[in-house]
Amino acid sequence: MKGGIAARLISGISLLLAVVVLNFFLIQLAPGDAVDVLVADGGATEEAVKRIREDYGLDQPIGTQLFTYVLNILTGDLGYSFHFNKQVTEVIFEALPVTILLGLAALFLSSILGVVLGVAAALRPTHLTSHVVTLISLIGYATPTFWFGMMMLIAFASWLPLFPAYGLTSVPPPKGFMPYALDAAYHLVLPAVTLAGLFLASISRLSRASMLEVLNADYIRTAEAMGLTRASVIYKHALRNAAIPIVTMIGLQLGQLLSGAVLVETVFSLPGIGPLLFESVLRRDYPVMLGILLMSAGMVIFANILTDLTYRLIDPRIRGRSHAR
Amino acid sequence: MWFSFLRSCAHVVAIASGLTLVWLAPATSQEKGGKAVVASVKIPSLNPLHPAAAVGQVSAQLYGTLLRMDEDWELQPNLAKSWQVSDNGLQLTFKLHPKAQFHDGSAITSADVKWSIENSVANHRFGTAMFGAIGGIETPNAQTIVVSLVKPSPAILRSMTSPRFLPILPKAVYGDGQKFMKHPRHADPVGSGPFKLSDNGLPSYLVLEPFEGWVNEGPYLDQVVFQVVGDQSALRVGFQRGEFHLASGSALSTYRDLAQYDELDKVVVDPCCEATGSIFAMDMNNRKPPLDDARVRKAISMAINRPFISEKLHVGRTFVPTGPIVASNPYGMSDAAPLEYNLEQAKALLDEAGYPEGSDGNRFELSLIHLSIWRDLHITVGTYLVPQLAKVGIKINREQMPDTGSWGKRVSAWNYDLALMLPGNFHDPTVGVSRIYVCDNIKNRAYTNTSGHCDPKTDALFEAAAIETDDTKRKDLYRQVGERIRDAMPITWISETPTQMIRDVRLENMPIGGWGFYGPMDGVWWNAGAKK
Amino acid sequence: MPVETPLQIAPPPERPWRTTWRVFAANRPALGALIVLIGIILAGLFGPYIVAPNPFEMVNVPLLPPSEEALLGTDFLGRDVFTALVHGARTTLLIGIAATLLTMVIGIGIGAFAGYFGGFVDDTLMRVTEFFLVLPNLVFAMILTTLFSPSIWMVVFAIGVVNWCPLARLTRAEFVRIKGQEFVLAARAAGASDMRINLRTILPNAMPPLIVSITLLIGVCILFEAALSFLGLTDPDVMTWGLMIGASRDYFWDAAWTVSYPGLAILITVLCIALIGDGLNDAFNPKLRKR
Repeated sequence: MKGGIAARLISGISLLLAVVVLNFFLIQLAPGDAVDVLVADGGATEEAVKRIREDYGLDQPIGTQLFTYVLNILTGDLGYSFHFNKQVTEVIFEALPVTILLGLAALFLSSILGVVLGVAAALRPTHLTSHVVTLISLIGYATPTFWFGMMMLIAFASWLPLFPAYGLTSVPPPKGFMPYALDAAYHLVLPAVTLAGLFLASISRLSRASMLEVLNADYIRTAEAMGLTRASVIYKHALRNAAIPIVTMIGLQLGQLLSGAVLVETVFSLPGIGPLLFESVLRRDYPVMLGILLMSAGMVIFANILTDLTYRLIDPRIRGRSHAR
Repeated sequence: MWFSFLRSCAHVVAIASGLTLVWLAPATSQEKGGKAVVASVKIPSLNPLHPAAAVGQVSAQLYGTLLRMDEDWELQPNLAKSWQVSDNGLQLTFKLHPKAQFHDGSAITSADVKWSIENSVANHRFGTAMFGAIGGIETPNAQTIVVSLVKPSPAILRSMTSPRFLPILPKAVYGDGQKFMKHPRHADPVGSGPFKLSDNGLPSYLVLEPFEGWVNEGPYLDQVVFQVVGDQSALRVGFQRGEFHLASGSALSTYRDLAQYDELDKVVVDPCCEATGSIFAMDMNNRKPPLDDARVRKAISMAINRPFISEKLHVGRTFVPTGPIVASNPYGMSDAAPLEYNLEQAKALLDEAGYPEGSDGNRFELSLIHLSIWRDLHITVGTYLVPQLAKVGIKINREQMPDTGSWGKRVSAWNYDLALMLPGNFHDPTVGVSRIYVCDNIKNRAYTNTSGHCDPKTDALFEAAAIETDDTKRKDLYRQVGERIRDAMPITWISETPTQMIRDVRLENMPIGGWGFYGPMDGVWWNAGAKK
Repeated sequence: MPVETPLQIAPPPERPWRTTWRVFAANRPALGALIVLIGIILAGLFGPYIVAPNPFEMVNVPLLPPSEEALLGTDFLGRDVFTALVHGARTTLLIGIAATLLTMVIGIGIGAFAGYFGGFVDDTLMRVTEFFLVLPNLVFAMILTTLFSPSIWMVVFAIGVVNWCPLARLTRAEFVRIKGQEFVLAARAAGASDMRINLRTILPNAMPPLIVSITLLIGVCILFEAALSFLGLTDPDVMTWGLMIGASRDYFWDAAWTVSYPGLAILITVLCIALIGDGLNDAFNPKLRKR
């Protein structure tokens, strides 16, 4: 097992490096670099342009630039953002907590609700519950996240002004940790529900299917035939086995979560990674852009490894079983 | 007797009402106190040389300058108590105010000023354009700075009035050898302006408080808060509730949206900040036919209905230009005739130039590129130009660029026929205007002479005006060059687009002309009883 | 047992398409969805000829609510929402299908090669797949569309490049499963060593799950295009449902109709596609249906 983890780590790191190189070359192919944007914002003198190129290291040959970039990454230096006058790591870490908070809240909501709904539907396959769950999951799947967010805003921030419409906190933000935390939580309700909606669909669907499959499996029938109560059958045996693909899925959703967060944060004007990425792309702020891509790839890799470990923990017997879903 | 009694009564009544009126009238002298909240777009940094306008508003309060410019474009003392220009215009002597201090308590010395000037030359985008005439800087004593110029530069003093161009910074803090544009102290700056940073809540807010060591009268406000607002609706709600008192209308709203602020009880919207001098123009690539023919260019210019654009599309918030320099600039052609609108004459010119209408009604096709930001200008006018120029038989292929990078790339490569752009005039033609028209600035870069126009006489006029120390003669020279450029029409100007200032009327004495809110607010006070 | 039965390349055990159709049609939601989707396709095909030809034209007062003059209201530039909706049907569907085709080519191509050849080819291709899976797809697509020109082809390319991985994996799994089956071995033994012929034998058998996947993929591509348009990262001269929503982002507070109708259009279309996909899935695999 240890060999497995080490191998995963090594492959993860090589993947990251591949991401770095890819992005670097993408930037080179792009029509327009940081200087063009800066200059297009009102112009600059010849000397200033030269100085900006030097500052960005754009006057070096490509190979040197790439080498420098990779070397810096290995020491944790993701570069400097001239727009924010800060290290890129600082810029990203300022925006990251919001996104993580939003993502975790959404994941939590959608997982719990999704599993509950899915299991309930599986236990009563012909009951109304099952059809409702299917309907909800289908609609959740088909709804564009950003549009759902806008509809939520109209419903709960305009017609019924129950929730705030934008931002992470009120203007100005309350002092003190507790009031601030509560204010932020209040502002995150609508965005988290919006983001959760996307995953509710897939998780409830998967839970239902997974639970159904397990319930009809031979060993469950055996347990029932042996006289174990329905409840103990469900909770002790079925759930645990049904959990495997669910956990796998939750872990692998991280990439989707990030993509969804970009949209939701834009709609609700939250100061997270989403708007940061969007604006840095428009500004050609390459250090920030590459930094975000690298960091998100890193997070996905990390989540994959974590999921893998959890998977093995939940059921070491079925290590390596590849149930194509 | 009866009559004189009446007269006395009248006097008493008059005096009584006079006194009552005086008692009821709002205060007209400055009072201390009050908090001004400025609603701002994102403030990415506190680096005074950062190009973003939002940073400029903050810099104006945090960082001091040698001189200041009032709303009549006249120079006033600031950190420099007095200054002198030698007769030949080649030597500037500044005497610092003896009590001038930085926010950390240290005294401002001539060494700091010298360092700050050199810093701006090296690191500002227009450093060499503004201060390139400087040959040497001497500091005979701690209070005196002598700047020697290699050629006269009448613009240089005005350039020194904005902390976005020449902030006075402590050499001890910023001159430690690290690259200025990457300096770590930008996160925790040491300024020299009327307000100091008391709470850095970026990216959400900033709180500024008066600096006790400020050399002038004031500040009168207790606090200036910069609140970062991302959203049109948040801005509107804030002003409605009286929570916001100042904002740049150009940043978050469209021109149409501004009307709702005028309707609020205590809020007005004014065009401001003329010293930044924006003029919305359409560049024409003079290199290839048909745009190489001045008649064609003039025809295109004549086909544009500027009054319609300014009054209907921009609901009166922009103005019809007269030439290459904005009318509000001291060197602008404010009394010249506005650019003509005449469809028949445009058609005649095109016929004359040898481009008759084809069977489908078109004479020729041109590409038009523009940005997606500044929607009222680029998108609205870009969309308007297509059917409008079709009226004189020109087919326009409109290409909306998704961002400044792609737009910049096209413009730099001269890969366009027509391009909409917003070249700032700035406070002096040597900084913002000449770069667009002179032969040796034909470069592959945006906001240079990308049209390719070259006229030695124009260049000579610009050069002469740049060093002319007699202001009357200078105005005349710019008048001449303005007319010359109008005649040649290498590019055409669509509207003068002043910055819009949304302001609570209770902010008394807020500078509107000159630098507007890009200047210090030390003279501003809170007049609770003010009315529109 | 008689031995002289000629060695035939027996047709693989196929589910007769008619039975499949009958099972599908019995699934009422799926059938209903198919009918609605056909309606939408027809609207996209013929609608633009019936309504006004240019959805970008400013035809009326801006921000009119749905009324007699403007069936579904107007947006902030005075453009008619209904006209834009109909034109959007065509463009949105076309882009969705084009992107799906690209995704299919890349995904099935890579999956087939990996599954069939195995070994080194398989390993390398799976590494590539893993690499693309690690990049969050919207983030990557945003970067691609902004770095290069925002034309409609770039958008199709970006969507395709970013979404092919699940299809590749599925294809590979199917190929691996099928290549070991008897009729394939028989075909190989009969001398059909050309890989293309084998692909012609294997691929049709892999179709059922692939068809389901591809159907759902159309929905995914439509949602993806909507997200990119909403962010303003597409061709501004092509009116799609996503663009309608994105363009009206600053106005939906007081003019909900500018975004609710295009959003509903997307929802209904993708819902129908999902129902059809589910129906197909059930129809191909009645064993796994639990109802």
